Amino acid sequence: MKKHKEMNCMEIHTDLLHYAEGSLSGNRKRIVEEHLAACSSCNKYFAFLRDSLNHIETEKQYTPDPFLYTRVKARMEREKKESGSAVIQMVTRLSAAAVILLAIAGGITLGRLYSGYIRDNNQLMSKEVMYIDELKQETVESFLLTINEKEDE
Amino acid sequence: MAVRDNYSNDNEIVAGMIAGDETAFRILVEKFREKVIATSMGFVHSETDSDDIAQEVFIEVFRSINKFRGDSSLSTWIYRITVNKALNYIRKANRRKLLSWLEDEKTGDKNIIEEQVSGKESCPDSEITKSEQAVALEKAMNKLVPQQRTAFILSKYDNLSYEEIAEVLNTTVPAVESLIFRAKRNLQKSLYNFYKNNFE
Repeated sequence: MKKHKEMNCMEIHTDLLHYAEGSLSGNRKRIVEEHLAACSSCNKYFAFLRDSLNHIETEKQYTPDPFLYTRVKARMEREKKESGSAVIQMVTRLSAAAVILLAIAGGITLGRLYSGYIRDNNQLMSKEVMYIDELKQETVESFLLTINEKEDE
Repeated sequence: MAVRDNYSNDNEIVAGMIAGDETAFRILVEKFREKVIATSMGFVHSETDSDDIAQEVFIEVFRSINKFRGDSSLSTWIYRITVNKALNYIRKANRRKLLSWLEDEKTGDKNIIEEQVSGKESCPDSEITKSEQAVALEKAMNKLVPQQRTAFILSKYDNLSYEEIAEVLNTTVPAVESLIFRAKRNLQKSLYNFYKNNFE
């Protein structure tokens, strides 16, 4: 019996919102009204549902700001200024980035030029060292052989 | 150009705005502000936030008036902008809330976390705590998917017909009927769960 009543309450709940809105008619409206008259728990829930939906009417009563147009214009001006200063900020940042990049590029170029000078000097020096250090050019054995050959002649 | 004091219809307002007449824009704001505010209230349930959204809407209207082709009515076009702005506003607010929640969790402010999770929020406009019924309805509406929510709001807060809603949502009347039917069913379920958990 209790289960049957709960089933009946659940079925009524699906119609309660429409009933609270006043969009229920005919037989279904009569069934809901009879049920609400007999079931205190559904009646309590219906009161809660109706009060919740009434909140929509309360929110609809809010009167718009009479100075909305003035506020819209002021905001547009503010955003215009902000976007202008944002552009200036962007340009400043880009300029700073360009200066840094130029400095880095300049540094790299100078570095390459300088390292080229050292490389050339190193090559020159190694040639000189090669002349000084003749062992690299001619081993002791071949030198002795050459001397022996000369003596034989 | 000659400045006019009155415009008899929407086409003239649009033409006036395109021509750069500020009066036309002022008349447009005054004509549509109640509709825009009502729709926004349905989405955000806060006077301050709906004023903010209304400002964004009219700025967008001002900037995009050249793009208005007149395929739909001016009212429909403004409703579409309002819905988009309101949904974006909610998305941004949710993102901010999530970030602050994460920040609070990181700093270990348990009281704030518990308050936010349980939804015990005070009304930002007047610092008066909203009634349980109001909170229940707002929570139930916030749970609806955007299409159902939009259709329900346009119907209940703006009293638009199903045909007008279909035009705003760019869909058919049966689709709107279905959206509103499902919205009401879901609202009923959420409200009943809230009632069961808090009042029974």
